[in-house]
Amino acid sequence: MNRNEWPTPTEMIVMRILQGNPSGAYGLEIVDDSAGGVKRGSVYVLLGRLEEKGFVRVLRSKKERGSAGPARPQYQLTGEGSRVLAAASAIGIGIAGARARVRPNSMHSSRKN
Amino acid sequence: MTTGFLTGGYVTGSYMTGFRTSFIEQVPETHDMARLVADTRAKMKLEKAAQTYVMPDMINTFGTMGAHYQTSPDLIVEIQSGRVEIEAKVLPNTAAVTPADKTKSSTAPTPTQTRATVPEQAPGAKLHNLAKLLLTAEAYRRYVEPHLADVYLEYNNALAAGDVKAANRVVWRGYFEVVKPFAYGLVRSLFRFWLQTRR
Repeated sequence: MNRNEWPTPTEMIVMRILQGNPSGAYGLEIVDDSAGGVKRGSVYVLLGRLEEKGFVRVLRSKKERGSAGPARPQYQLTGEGSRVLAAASAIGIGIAGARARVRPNSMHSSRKN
Repeated sequence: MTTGFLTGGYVTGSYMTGFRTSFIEQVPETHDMARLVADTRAKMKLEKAAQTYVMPDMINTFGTMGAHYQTSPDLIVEIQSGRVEIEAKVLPNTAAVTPADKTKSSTAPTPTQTRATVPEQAPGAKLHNLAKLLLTAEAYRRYVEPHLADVYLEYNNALAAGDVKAANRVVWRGYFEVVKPFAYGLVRSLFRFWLQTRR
């Protein structure tokens, strides 16, 4: 896995919520469940990124009877997403945060070499 | 979908198919709501407006042919081969017009007040067009469309509850909150475009 494909701490919040909703969750449900961790303006950016990385799949539901506008998509954690989340939980820290701490030294040492 | 409500002697319909259109059609002023709804001319005016504004392709996309919706307590919508029939019903609290109500007629909202409070266009119509123009289909589908779908849902829930102010608040908040996904989608789209032109 590419280093840039690791989920960020906020993405991990979204993934944890999706893990708790195996049948899928709407964007607004994720915002509500995150208790302020994910903002309404960011949730679809995060979900889009996770979809791109292959951690989340979109379930295109049929339009609800009598509803207007486009159908609201539901999001579900993929198998790969579950594995990455399990790995991240095993480490016990936000991977992106750890990477940010580690990266400057490692980059410095690689330049020396 | 059509949502509508009877307010102070005016029938106001807000017709929405996807993102495209809406109409607010004012029918003849009367305070006898039962007569107003039974008024064939008023109903025809609503139907004509619906037929004018509705794009058959949008019905295909967002509605179902032959569908029968009762979208709110006061309106029934039928979609038949690109033709939309709207049947307005009297709300229980407005059905009985008493003499006391007639004396209150001077305090009833004027047509211009009603027009001012209901959005003239379906929420996100302009944004939808702008996003379709600037973003790639993928960026639009991922970042902007789900957000607009949520705005629609909340907007229609507010209208169904008869709370026009709340519906307007939903639209403004929706525009405010879509800035980030829109900007992100725009950057992604420009990056894709740059990659394609570089090859």
